[in-house]
Amino acid sequence: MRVRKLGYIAVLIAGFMSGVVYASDKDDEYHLVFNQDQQFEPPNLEIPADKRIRLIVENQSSIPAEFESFELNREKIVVPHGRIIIYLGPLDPGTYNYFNDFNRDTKGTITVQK
Amino acid sequence: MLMRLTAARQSLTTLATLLLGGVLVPAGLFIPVQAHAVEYKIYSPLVVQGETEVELRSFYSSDNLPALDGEQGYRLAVGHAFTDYWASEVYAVLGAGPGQSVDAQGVEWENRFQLTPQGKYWLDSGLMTELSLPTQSDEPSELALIPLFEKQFGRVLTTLNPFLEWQFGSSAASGTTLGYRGRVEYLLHPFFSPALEFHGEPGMIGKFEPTADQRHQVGPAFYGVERFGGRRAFLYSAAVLFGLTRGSPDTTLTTRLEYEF
Repeated sequence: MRVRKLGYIAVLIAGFMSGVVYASDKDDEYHLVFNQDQQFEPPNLEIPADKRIRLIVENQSSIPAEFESFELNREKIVVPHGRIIIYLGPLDPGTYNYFNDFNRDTKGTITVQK
Repeated sequence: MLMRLTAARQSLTTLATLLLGGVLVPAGLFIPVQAHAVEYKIYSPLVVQGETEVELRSFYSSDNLPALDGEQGYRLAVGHAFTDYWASEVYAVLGAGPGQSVDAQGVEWENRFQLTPQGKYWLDSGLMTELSLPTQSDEPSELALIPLFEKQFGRVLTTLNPFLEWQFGSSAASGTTLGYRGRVEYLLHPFFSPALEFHGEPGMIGKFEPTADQRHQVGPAFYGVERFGGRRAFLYSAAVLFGLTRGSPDTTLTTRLEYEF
């Protein structure tokens, strides 16, 4: 019985760890800047479809920003003068909207192209 | 030290009851007492740093069998994400078993840890710990360990929370309880995203009840969010769960309201 209990816990841990496999340092890298005028640069970023990419979001302003997108299911704060990495994709072709949750008038798009 | 812990637990429970009374009575809801460890929230492994939230959720089960009919629970929580990988939340728990009046059940303290960057690996993962301290000194405390998994396929978001639970203290049952919660959600629109939820508890590992007597429930749900800018948002969801076994309530209605800021 004790062996069976340990077996259940081992299966749980193995399942947990196996789901975390696959990470690549060879992802293409793209950059998005929240500039001192508190706008995103470029306002429309183009990335390839069906491929995972690393999006580096850099905040060059002195106030916090939050990269948020319902379509991309991403929500992450970028502290003043800080940078974050957001992993995106593989995504289907199309246009995805995002915005700064601290000021929703500040927004942009990510266009995914084949 | 045990007496101080007991006194602290009683004080927290009294405070929790007063807080919940301040919310639920004006809302016209009936405040009861009694504890049940049933939990109908499904957790994402993702933590958003700096978020503070106030949450209220409830469930009510109905069944032809008196032993399962009328089970209900209410939780009021306050939480905060202190880092980009750790969020903590404290709950006041009220509830009632079948045929009983609602009463304060106790307090819970949850800590959620995001273990992997979102989207970096095939599966997003996290871990949650949950400590439950009951109102009654002759009832056991509980500790749960809950791995959190999430995977997105296009607009379909799947989340799974298997859990292990142990009792300790007064009248504690020996052994490890196994259960699960999960959902498949379609990200249709921020205001409305339909989902299918499933919840169950096979029971104590090594001593599972016959399948027919285990609790397994499944049913439709929806999730939504209204964002007001400045990181303020109102989140809402509800589910109607149908029992798959005779050990499950025929129908359970769950609701969740959350304000983030």
